[in-house]
Amino acid sequence: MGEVHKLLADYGPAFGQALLLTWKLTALSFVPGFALGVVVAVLRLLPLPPLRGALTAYVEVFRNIPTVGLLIFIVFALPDLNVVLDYDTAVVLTLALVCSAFTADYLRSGINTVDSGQIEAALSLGMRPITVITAIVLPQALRTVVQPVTSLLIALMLSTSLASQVPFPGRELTALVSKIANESAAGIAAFAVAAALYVTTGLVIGWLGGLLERRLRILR
Amino acid sequence: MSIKTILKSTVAALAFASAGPLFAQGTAIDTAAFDALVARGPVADAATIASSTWATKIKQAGSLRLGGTQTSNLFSLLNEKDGKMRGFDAGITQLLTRYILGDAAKVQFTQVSSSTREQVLINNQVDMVLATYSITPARAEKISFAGPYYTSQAGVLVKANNKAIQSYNDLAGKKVATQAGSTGPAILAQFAPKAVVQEFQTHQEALDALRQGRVDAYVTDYTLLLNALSLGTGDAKLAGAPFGAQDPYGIGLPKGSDGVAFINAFLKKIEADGTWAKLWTVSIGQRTGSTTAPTPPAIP
Repeated sequence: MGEVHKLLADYGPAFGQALLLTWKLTALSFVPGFALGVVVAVLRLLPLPPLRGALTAYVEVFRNIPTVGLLIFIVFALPDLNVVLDYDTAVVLTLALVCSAFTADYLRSGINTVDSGQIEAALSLGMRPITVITAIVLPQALRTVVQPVTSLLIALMLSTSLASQVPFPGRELTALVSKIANESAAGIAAFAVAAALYVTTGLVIGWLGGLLERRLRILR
Repeated sequence: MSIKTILKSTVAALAFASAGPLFAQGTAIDTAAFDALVARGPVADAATIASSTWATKIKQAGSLRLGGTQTSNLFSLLNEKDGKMRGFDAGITQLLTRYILGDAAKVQFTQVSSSTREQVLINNQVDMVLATYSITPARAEKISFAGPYYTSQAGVLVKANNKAIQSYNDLAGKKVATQAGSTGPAILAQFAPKAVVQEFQTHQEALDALRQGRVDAYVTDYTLLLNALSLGTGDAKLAGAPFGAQDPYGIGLPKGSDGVAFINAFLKKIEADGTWAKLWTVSIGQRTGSTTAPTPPAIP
């Protein structure tokens, strides 16, 4: 434990900055990723077979690809097709794509929990299909998927460690651990501190998700 | 399009991305010469083994537990075809294994990274770490180093048409690649403090970044750069001479181990009988266009 104390004395502020960057990356990729996932889930409801096929392919690809593989592809393979993205853009794009695929998939199961009788009732009242989706289906679907999306957000937060695999400007927690391991040969202590910060963040996200879930739960 | 197809095309694209001949991995090692050299290495007599508890323990276990890497081009690269590792580090490891056990193949390999090198020794999970391991005071507080058995200096690689960068003095404000976990970032902080440093995980990724124009220069071990140029088609060149402090590579052992004296005696032996120079020629010299082997670093 003495080693951890010494580490915090030397690198305390650096850990603080790294934690903030981890949070920032999480937020930057979750917000667009979640929004995109909602859009994809809604578009998959439309009775257009080619679009459905394309979106299903989209979800399956980004749900089943190793995130690190996707990142390496975006950073090192795309430039040969003359697509050069900044490292921070590449990391956020990778995480947002994966997040959107999982969001769309969870929402689909959320949408399936909405009783088809409600939709028929709304349509027979003269509501337009898009209004049915935005006013009846989506609100209930979103309330149903708070729990899985909370888990997704935690997984996404942990996946920000991918940034350490490319020359990302700035150091999030995992990149900081690598740096400390090299500079002061204190890799394991640094990893313990980073792990504690990851776990704490995950617990906070889980707790907030639980609160939200209790507030929004649909009593069936 | 199945997931398999997509993954396959991803891999293909990645292979394509790193297939630039000019920045290929460099000249391959002469496997036959390397294997023959290791097979001719000295074997210690029983008294020499008995004089060291570290060596005795390995002799009794019947294998040497190594912490190393498989992806270091000149130093320790796994050949997928025959499952053997070759390179300068791999050669030292196998010669030492043969010296203790009489059979160079009796190595138990554990993958280590710059984050885990000290810990595997502290936990006694390996007998030694031999992985282009620079001797630094911070590391020497936790573990003991035998050697050094090699020293390196940094060099600068740029595209052949780059006139702006003539040496490390011209790196201010430029994007410079280096390898994370190497001494590169510290060297750049000292010699080119105004450079915009980008740390890559592997040598190949740094070369790709230079080829794709993401960075203006790549600073790493000079011999690695010579090797990258050895298959070159003239698209890249070295900017200036090697620079910076001599970076000594040591062999990591558990703190206070008497293996230090044993390995140092072994290193002096293979340096004296010419094995060290031959190993350098096979694994580094021939592959970088350098003819004369350097003088091995002084062992304290």
